[in-house]
Amino acid sequence: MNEHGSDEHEQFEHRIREWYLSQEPSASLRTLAFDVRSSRDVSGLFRGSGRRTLHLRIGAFGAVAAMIVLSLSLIRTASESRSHVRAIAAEIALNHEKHLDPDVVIEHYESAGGMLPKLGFDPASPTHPATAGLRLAGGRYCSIRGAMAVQFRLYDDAGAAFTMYQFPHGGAGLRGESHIEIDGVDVRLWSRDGIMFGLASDRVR
Amino acid sequence: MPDTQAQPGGDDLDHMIGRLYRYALAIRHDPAAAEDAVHDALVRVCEKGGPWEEAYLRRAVRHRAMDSVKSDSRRIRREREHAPVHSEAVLDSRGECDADLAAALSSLRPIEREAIYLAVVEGLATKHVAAAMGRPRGSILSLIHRAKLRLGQALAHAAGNHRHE
Repeated sequence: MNEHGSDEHEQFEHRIREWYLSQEPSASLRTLAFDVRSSRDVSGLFRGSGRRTLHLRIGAFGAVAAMIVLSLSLIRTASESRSHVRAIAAEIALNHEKHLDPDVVIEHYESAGGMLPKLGFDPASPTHPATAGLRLAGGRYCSIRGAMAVQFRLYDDAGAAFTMYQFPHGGAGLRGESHIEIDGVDVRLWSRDGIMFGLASDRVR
Repeated sequence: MPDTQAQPGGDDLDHMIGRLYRYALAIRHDPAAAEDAVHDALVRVCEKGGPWEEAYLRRAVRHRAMDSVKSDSRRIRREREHAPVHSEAVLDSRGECDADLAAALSSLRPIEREAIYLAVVEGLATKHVAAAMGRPRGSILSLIHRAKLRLGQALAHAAGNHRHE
């Protein structure tokens, strides 16, 4: 390849590099990553490296065992619950920001189970005051924390879009209701009859 | 090449998420699908209790992204009447963007974009690209060569169109 061709090739590759390096993930994905990482820090202590000595391993396991014993009464503490709820809210905010169109038109929550038969549960009509006056436009499959969920698209009178998520959940980690703002997305979480509801919007309602 | 063994701290994690996202984007060429792939990989690795290492996460992201390519292909074949979101329209809405290059990249197959990304952006040697993609080195060389040719042709075509406008 001559010098001119080599320059062109280098510019071509530079252009590709620049394009990819200008692409950044959303703030919600970064938030989710930090939340996910913080939820696995303890498990990291159990992953031994080849360089770790036996004494260090015993010490590490002993420390972790002592920590576990001391923490038994604190399992599922408020902070753990908050972390879990925040991880769900971050995932909902991430999904909401994608503004994905519904796959099917749904007029009533009760009919969603028939329209989306792979859900494995029957979505329910939300009775939360925050959903009052919102018009249901459609829905699609999605997943929250790896579990099958339904994502509804709703609109208010001004035409602002809301997304509602429903998925089977025992309500673990959630007492009453949570209201979290993540990267400008307003997320409300509550549960009823074994179903967790999440309502996301671009503004505080 | 990034240190794949280190436990990621704040900035390291941030950079790693950026690299994983761009890798997924290279395969999917759709920001939403790329974020889905990274997101699903993070959740799965967390559920399995690790390891929290970039090389492992990268394989998990590749697995998710390739799975979604296959399922999207099946879905699009079934639902041709529902046109999928055009990737460039989405990509253009984010950050600084070379629209011609984005369009040219969209004309490549996912494995071609992946090979180009690993070789050009990540700067991996061909043997490492081959290892990451589970293909022989020779086929990676021809894959990259063909992909660059097609990219060059698409960009030249776009440049010609601009001159006529």
